Amino acid sequence: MNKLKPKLFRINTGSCNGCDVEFLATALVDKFQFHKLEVEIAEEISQANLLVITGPLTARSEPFLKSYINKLSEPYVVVGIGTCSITSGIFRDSYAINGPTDKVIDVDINISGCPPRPQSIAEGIAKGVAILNQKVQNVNISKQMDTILQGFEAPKSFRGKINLHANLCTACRTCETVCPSGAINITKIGDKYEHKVWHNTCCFCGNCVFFCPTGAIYNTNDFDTAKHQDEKYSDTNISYIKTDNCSSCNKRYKKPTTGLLKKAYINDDINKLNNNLCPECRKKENFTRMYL
Amino acid sequence: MPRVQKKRKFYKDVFVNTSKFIKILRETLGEQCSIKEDKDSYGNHSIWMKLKVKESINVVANSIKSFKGRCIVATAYKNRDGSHTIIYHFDINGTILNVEIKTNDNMFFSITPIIPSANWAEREIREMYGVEPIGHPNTDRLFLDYSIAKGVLNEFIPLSKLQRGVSKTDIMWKKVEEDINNG
Repeated sequence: MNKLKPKLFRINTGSCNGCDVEFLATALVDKFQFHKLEVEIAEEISQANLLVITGPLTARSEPFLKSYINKLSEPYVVVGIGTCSITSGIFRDSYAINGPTDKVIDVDINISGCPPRPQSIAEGIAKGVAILNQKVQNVNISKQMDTILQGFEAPKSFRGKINLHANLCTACRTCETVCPSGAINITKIGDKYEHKVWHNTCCFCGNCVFFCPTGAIYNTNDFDTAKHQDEKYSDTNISYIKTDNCSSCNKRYKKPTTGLLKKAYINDDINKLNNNLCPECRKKENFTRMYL
Repeated sequence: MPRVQKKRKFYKDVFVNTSKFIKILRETLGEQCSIKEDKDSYGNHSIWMKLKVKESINVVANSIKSFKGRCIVATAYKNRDGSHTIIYHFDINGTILNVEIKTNDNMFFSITPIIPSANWAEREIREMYGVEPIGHPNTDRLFLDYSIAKGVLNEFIPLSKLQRGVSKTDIMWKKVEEDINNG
C-alpha cells in the first residue's frame, strides 16, 4: 500500500498565539497521542504535505500566505486550527481582516475553539493525516469521519459546545446580543422560534451562559470540534422554542418560565397568577385584580 | 546605610533637573506655552505643557535632548471640529513631561531627527489618524497593510455595532441557513 510520511508545516496568519501554544502542548505532551501519528516537522514549505494554519488572516499576512501556498506540491492537506482560521471569529468584519483562510486556500479540516483543546487538535491532525493517505491512494475522500484517537475526556468545568434547554428559553435574545462573535441567531418561523448556535464561529467564552436570565443556555462538555470542511456551515445546534395560545385573546405568545416569573413577582405567590395569558391580557387582568 | 543615601541623592537630582528644565522652557518660549505641574497619589512628579504654536515642539525636543530625556509614546485623537490633538509623553530622569500640540491641517513637525525614540509613535499616528509628521526619516508603513487606507481611527464606528458583532448582516450566516434548510 502506498503511504506518505506526513510532514507538517505551520503558518501563523495573525493569530494571538493561543492556538500556537496549544498546538505546541499537543506536540510535546505524550498523553495527547500526537506521537502515534508519526508526523515530522518540515523545515521548508516545499517539503511539507500537511499545512497547519492559525489566525484570522490579516491583510498584512495575506500576500505571505499566498506566496507560501505556491511553493506547496500536491498532494497536500490543509488543517485550520482555531475559530479565527475557520470564520475569522470575533475579528470578522474588521478593517484589517481579509479572512477566513478558505478564501485563499482549500481547507480540508477545521478545528474550532478559542483555542481548541489539545485533544481536538490531535484529533484534527489525525483526520488530516487520514485524508492525506486517501489523497495519495486516489480513493474517494470521506466527508464524515469517525473519531480516530480515543480515551479523551474534559473536566466538568470545561466550556464546550453550547446547547439549549428549549423548555427554559423565552427567546429574549439576550444571548444573541451579548455574543461577541455573532454565533447565535434567533428567528421566528411560523409558531415557533428557531434558536441556532453555530459552533464554528463560537469562541466558547460563556458570555451567553453568564447573561441568560433563565439559565436555558449552557456549555456542554463536548469538545468534538475537529470537523471536515463540508461540515463548516452545518455544524450547528438547533432548538425550537414553542409558543402557546393566550387563553383570553387566543393570540400566540411565548409563555414566561417559572424562574422568570419568580424574578418579576418577588412578593407575589406565582402559583396564583394566571399563567396562560399573553402580556397584554395579563396586564389587564392584574389591573382589575389590584385596583378595581 | 549607603543604599538609602544613594536613593535620596537620585530624587534630589530629579528635583533640580525638572525645575531647571521648566525655567529654561519658560525663558525661551515665553507666552507660547502654558505649564502645569502635578503629582499623582504616589508622589510621582509630572509636568503638563500646552503649546500654542505647533512649531515650538522643536524647541521643547531640543531641550529634552540636552537633559537626556526620551519619548515614551505619543497619543493622538480627533476633535469634533476635525482638528487633531497630539500629546507627546516624555521621560526625563523619572519625571513625566506631557506636551500637547494641536493641528488643523493634518500635519505636524516630526521630532524623530532630534529624539529617535519618537520614531514608531509618530509613524503610528500617521497610519491611524492620517496626520503627516513632516521631516520623518521613515516614510514606510509601520504595521497597517497597504490595502488599508490611512487614518482608519478617524472613521466613526458606533459602539453598538462594535459590540453586537455581525450576526444579521453577515453573508456567512446565509450559508448556515441554507445548510439548515437543506437538512
